[in-house]
Amino acid sequence: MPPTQGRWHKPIALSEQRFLHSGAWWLWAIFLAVMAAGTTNPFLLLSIIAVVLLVVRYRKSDAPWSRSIKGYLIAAILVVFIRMILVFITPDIFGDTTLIVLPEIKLPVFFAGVKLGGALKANTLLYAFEEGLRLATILICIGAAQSLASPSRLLKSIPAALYEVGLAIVVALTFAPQLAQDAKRVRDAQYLRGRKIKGIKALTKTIIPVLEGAMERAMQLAAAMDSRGYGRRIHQSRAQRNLTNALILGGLLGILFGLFGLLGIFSQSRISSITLIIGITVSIIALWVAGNNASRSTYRPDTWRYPEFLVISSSLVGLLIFKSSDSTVLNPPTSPLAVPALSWLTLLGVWFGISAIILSPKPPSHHKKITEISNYKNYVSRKSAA
Amino acid sequence: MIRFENVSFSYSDSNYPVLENVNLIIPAGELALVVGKTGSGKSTLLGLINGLVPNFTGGKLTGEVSVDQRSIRDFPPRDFADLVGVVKQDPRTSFVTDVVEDELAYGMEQLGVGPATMRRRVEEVLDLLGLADIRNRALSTLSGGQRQRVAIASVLTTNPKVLVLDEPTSALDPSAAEEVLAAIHRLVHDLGLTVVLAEHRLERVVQYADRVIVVDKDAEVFADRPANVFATSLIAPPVVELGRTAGWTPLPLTVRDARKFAEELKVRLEKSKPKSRTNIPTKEMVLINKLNFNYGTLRALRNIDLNINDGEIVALMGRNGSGKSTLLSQLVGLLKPTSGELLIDGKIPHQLSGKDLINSVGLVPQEPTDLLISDSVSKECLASDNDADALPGTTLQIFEQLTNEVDENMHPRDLSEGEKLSLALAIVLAAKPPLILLDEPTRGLDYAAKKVLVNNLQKLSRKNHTIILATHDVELAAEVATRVILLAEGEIVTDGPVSEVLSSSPMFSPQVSKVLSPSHWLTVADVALALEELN
Repeated sequence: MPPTQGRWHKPIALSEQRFLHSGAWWLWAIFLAVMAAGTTNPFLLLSIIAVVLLVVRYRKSDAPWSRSIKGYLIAAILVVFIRMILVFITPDIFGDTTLIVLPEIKLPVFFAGVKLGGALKANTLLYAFEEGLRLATILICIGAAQSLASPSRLLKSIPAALYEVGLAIVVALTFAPQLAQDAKRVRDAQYLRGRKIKGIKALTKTIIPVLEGAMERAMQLAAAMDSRGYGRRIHQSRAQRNLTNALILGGLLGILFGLFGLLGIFSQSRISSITLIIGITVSIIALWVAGNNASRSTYRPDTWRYPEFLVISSSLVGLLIFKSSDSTVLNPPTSPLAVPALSWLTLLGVWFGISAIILSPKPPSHHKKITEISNYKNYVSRKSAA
Repeated sequence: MIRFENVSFSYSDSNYPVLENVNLIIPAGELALVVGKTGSGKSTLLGLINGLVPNFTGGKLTGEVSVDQRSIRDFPPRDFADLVGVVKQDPRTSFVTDVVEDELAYGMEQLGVGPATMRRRVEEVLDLLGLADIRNRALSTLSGGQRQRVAIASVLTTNPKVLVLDEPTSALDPSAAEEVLAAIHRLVHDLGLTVVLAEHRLERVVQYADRVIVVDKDAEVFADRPANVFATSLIAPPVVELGRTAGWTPLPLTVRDARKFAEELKVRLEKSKPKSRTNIPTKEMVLINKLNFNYGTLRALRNIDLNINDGEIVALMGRNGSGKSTLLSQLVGLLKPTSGELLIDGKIPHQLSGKDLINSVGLVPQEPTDLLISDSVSKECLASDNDADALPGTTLQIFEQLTNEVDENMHPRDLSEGEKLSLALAIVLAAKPPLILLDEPTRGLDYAAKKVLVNNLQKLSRKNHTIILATHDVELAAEVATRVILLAEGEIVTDGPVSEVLSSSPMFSPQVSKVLSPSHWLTVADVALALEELN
């Protein structure tokens, strides 16, 4: 309903309910993840988590896959927890503040240099917490992207050449929960026959029927897709297909080696950047060549309008501010023990990402109640049409 | 529209042809109903229409199958996507996307239909099948009836001329089935679509059919008007059998036709009463007291109070998702009650396991094959003897009593649906549990197999076994149950003797009671018995 009063109206691109382009959400989340990767400051990391969760809270749709963020949160907590548990094995790596002294275990000679137990330093513990939190934050960013844009919607926007690969991934994603259901069914059946359902022997007995079921379902899905026209009308000669495949493979290898180089595995950084650039170019050419040959069309593709740019820039601007920050803010020293320093500007950079809530349109609501009135309306309109 | 010429087909691992010398013509705009026993080749016949058989199954085809003059020899199934729409029994296995609207568009995307046309057709089909309200819903959140309609809609968007449906209502409760069949009926009338439909539950579909195709392993496949086919066919819905028993001509095919004769029959039956089925109880088998069960935040069972004695056959009925299967899982101890008390024969089921469990209660699951794990019938039976600590040969003996002769070396997978069910039931019975549970036992069973099941259940109840079955099949409940419990949203709505519950409910009444209402007659067998006694 368009607002009729008030001086300022929200622009239509923002007030209309629609899904933001899935690519935009993924880029937004990736920039935040990159931010998280570059810091161990717990205040900044917690800020990133807060920003991400708030945006998910206000911009996720009510479809089932929007709940995937929960799983990622649990995984994130586990990551922090496990990282901190590991400290207890070798507690006194560095630091000056001893919390407690754990009993030390002498290892046999051939483990020379490794010792278990000893004085547990607060510094080590803090360091482990920060490390764990960083990984957890990256996980949550990915989970947020998945909650905000379903993987199958992302499939609509990927280049035609990657359609097959993308489809395989999406189908695999829908298979995973079904496998779990199958496993439960088989275990139930074992129980109903009065057999043991715990232990390795029982486990091996469930695997085969579950895999059989999965195979059968894959065949059924393949038949269904075929009878609905999948794989039709792709008029590509063998030579053309080989060319595309070669280009894609070459491009990906280029990107891979380039990245390895930049990460410092090879010494020549200039050669690495050149390889990376060539790799990306070749990949783009490959996608373009393959895309020209596809004859598939896309139903209601995600549209790319200015809110998409705004959302991406909200986290990109943050990232730029962030990158220019002082290194003591980003990676505060844990020894000597102190409260990590903060700068207002860096914090602002992180919280800038939250503007995605205002800058993006609301997703449409799925679960409209089917009321008597709308049924009646349908009935009337059908009558008058006939 | 569809033409079979001298078609024979055999699967590669078998020497016998499934179909032999089939000659059929299905004209445009007709609804053809395919009937036949399980394993008679119905699915093969349907699969041939767009070439999924033999392209996906392998096998040897001779003769010519063509749709709209396009032969399945010349094109793969995908090139029939704009001509033939195929909907499987369980649409979940064929969904490719995750949202209703995207699923509708999928076929058109593959055909490269332009964006504007795509949008228009999606809107049209949404309205045609009444799906506009759920267009944005995720497929996993749909009810059974909605799922089936979405599957039909998703093949309609490519504007096919033929719709092929394999048992579209067998997994659905009566009202959801009605919803789907009404939609199909509209397609035939409004769009002039040719529909080929296979279904075991004839009572649901006969009234819509223009033509019946009879597939029989030992006889020639033929097509004829429904009235001619059912005058002699062994496979017939209850209303037709009622007509035969009462000697009505012309034979009524629908409840509405039969009502014209009903007054006469009611007068004849005035002094008679249906034979009572109840056995004299000796003890209480199931005791449920204030049982609650939650799946997360969903309250699947609420405040269930229930007592069931031995010798009773209880039919649990209700919509998909009303809590029937959950209640069975509780009774067999697969799920633990959230609160309340549940005792079977004085024992708490979820505390039992192993031999104690299978000696007290047995469940035949919705897919009987879930219970089967070995690669031959004889091995399966020996494994079951072992599980139950019974003498070797016990299970096999029970199995042979439940069914016709079966080759012991066969793989359980290759048994017919009815035989699979009998084998699963035999495994359950080998441990001699006093309480037997069956979840949706007649899915995929033809009338003959159903009769076998009914006989077996009645025999068991005479031996004072307690039987509880969850079912959508009104006719099964009418034939076998002594008591019916209707569930809705996890609560017991009605609980009473079968004759009272089924004859008073509009959705859950069998055909005989619809014809003879208001009265307590439920099955043709009851009426036949009464008429015999009168003579």
